[in-house]
Amino acid sequence: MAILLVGIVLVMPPFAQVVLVDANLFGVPIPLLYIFVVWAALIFGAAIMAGPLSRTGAPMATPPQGDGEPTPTDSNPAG
Amino acid sequence: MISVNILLTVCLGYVFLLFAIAFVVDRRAQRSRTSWLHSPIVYTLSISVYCTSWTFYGAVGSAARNGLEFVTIYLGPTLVFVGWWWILRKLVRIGRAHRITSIADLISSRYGKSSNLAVLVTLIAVIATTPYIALQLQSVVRSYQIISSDADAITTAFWVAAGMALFTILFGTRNLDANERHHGVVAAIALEAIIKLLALIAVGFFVTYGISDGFADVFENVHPDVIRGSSDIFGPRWVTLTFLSATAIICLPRQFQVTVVENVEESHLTTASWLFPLYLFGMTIFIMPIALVGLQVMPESSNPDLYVLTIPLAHDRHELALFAFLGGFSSATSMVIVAAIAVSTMVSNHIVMPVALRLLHGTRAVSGDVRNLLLVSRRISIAFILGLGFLYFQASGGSDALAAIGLIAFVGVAQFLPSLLGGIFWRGATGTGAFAGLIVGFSFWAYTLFLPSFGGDFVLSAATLANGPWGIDLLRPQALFGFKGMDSLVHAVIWSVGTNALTFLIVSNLTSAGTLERFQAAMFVDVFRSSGGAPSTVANSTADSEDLFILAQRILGTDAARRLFDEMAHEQGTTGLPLASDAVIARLERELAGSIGAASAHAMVSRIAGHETVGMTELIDIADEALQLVETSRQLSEKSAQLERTAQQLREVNERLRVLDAQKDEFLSQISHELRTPMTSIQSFSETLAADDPISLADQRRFVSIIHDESRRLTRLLDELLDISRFESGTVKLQIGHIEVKAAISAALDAISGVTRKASVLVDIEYEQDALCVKANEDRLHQVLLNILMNAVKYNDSDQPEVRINAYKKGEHVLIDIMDNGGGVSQEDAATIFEKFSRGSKSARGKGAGLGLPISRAIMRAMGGDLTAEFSDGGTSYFRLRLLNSAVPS
Repeated sequence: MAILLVGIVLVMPPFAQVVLVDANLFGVPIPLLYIFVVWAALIFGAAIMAGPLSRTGAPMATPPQGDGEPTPTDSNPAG
Repeated sequence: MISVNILLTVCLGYVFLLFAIAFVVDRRAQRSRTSWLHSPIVYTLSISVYCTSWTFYGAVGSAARNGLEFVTIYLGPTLVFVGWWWILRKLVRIGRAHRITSIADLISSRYGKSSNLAVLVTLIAVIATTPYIALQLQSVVRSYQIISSDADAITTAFWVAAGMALFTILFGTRNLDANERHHGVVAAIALEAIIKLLALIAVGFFVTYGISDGFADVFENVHPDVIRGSSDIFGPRWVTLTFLSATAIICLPRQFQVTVVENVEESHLTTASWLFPLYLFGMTIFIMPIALVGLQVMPESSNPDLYVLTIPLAHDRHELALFAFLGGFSSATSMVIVAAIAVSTMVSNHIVMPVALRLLHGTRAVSGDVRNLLLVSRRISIAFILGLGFLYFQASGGSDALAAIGLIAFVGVAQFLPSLLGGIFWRGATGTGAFAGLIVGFSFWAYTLFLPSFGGDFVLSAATLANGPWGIDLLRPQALFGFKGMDSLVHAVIWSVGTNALTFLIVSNLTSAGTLERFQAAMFVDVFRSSGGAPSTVANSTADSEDLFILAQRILGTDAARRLFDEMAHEQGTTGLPLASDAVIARLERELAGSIGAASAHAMVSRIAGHETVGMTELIDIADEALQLVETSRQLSEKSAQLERTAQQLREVNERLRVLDAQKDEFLSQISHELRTPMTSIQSFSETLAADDPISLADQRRFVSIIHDESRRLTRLLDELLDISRFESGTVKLQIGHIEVKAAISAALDAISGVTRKASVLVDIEYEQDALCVKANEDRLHQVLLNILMNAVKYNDSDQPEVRINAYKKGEHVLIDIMDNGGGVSQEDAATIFEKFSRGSKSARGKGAGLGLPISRAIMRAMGGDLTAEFSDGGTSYFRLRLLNSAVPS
């Protein structure tokens, strides 16, 4: 929940308007870079939080069929 | 240009691959050998149907025109998945527990399984989805035309639509499994998800590092306004678009299908919470570079929407262009297939099937096989949806107006949001509120956004758009009630979603929910608290006699249900369970209505009968709850009857206690009176004797004699009291012997002979036989006889007193009836004469202490007999002594 609030604050006005500067950083326009960096940070944060959630088994339903093998939930194949 | 042959070969090869994968996976899924399919990665990839050709081609176009704004379409879903995935988890849990088949099903289920709501949601979904499908067809046709310039648009679109329909029908309606999972389809769209991601990244790489020299080179000399798009990039439109895309990822029928319905394991959401945003990140990272490079290297006439395809072609990278084409093709087909499945499920379940069942009901032609009907209806619905998309494409002539349809569809499905969120978080939300909200929101959406999107060609004329209907400026669709100078999209969202939510809240507060609705509300809102329906393998989408029987059992009880079904089977001329014909269902519904009310019975039976696919478990839950209520109320009424009885008993005991208390008081006053009389005379005579006055000797003797008599009377009284208490407490053991009745009666009569003679009482004795013997104590029997006979003589105020004694044998007993002609006792007195100190009204005052009868009865009972007051036919009373017959022969 906290991550949602942080995300909303960071990518929504008025906060986002702070980065509306006409300059490039590492060759990338700052507004564009900012959005993508925040985005990546959100993904990173979610991945970190998802790890313990799936391991400690916070209220999760059992699969309907018993044939599903345990699946790695913290791998990152699409990196 | 690539030759048509190569293009067709590649296309058909790719399509064949998709079919093959879907086929193989479906086959393996039936044999439960698809563990890899149950992986969170496949699940995440299937969610990527969010990225349609609108993303694949359109995002670049959007970036070229509006700069950074395109990002909002992916930021919204990112925020939902990253921070709000537990709302998706709640939806998944609800979907699983209630066998939800579509978003229409969810909303209608939540609001009391309302069919009106289901139809409304379905209609909105169809209206919002059809142009979107047309847009996909258009993108496939355009990209096809770009690569092989001589293709005929309509023909191509037709064959693409037909191919997709075939695929969807083949793999989308293979099973009518309760959970509506389509493993083959999911596998195919997972592959397509990979293809479109790789294709876009490949083009991005080529553009960034092949044409340009890295990111820095791409962004060099780019005017800041190109990045910003509008001057106010982080403004209301930015917020609105993010909100819309966040809403769409929850409310789009196809997203609901893959996220909720096709979910095989809740924990997959945890992985998707970061993996899906990562996928979106991958899809968008090269969008801006492609757009910027396209703007630089492509001629101005070139359509930015097709840069992904045209840039590689312009650089003669045909294989890359082909790959990009496949990526766009994948984006389009996966969206169309999933949307067709999702919307056709709704159309079939909520519109076609109810109508079909009603029509067939009229002709009574429907057999138990609703399953086939459902399959046919599902297939027809798919063909219908895709046909509608094709017609829309043909009618709109592939105009550019289609490009805007993505966002228009987003606003359309955003109308579901208030009902959906209200439904799963707010118990007070009612079906009427949801219906009103949807109607209002949908109307505003159509008026302010959808109809104006035709630019004056459809329903609303250009004049109406510009000046409002009938020239009323306030009603201008894009500046409603004076809201001017606002982006038309923001304007439409505020009006439609705002009024929708407001109406929903107000009407929900003003209306109250029905029983079923309240029950569903509790089940949905508290889905994590309740046990939820365990996944069942019952195919509940067809009318199954067994399901009906189970339901009937739950409500009517096993025996009654058995009897009912046997009877119905007998009527059909079959044995076992009857076929679930309409007659049977109607009959069952009537029977159930008697137990649970007509509305619930109708809902339950019609759900099982296949009007809608809702889980058995929930129905059983409802039935169980109803049964529990019936049982509880039965127990309650039993308890209350029991309490009533106990209270009645208490009242009786209390009354008896009161009588006893009064008797005790009377007894005490009586006994003090009885004791006082002799005591007074003893006292006065002893005082006289003790006085100094001279008393003659004769007088002295007389006084002493009186004192002596009175003392003996006192002693006798006290002895009697003692006797009574001893007999009553049962502490006396009497010596029982064999007593001859005749002798005992003679002795008693002898003892009172003085009195009888004096009162000239006529005594008449009648013995059945001379040698009657009884088990008794001689002295005590004598005492009792004396007492009864004395009473008969003493209280007899007849002119010619007469006492009759009759002794005879009856069974094991010997009865001695003693009656007199003195009038006896009344019926009322008969009940009390055996109480201590209570004499018959006749003898009310004076004579004796009233202990004779109670003592006599106590003695008789102590000897194993009894003393009762009986009444002859004429109503005269007499006493009856009953004693055990002695076996000793005479």
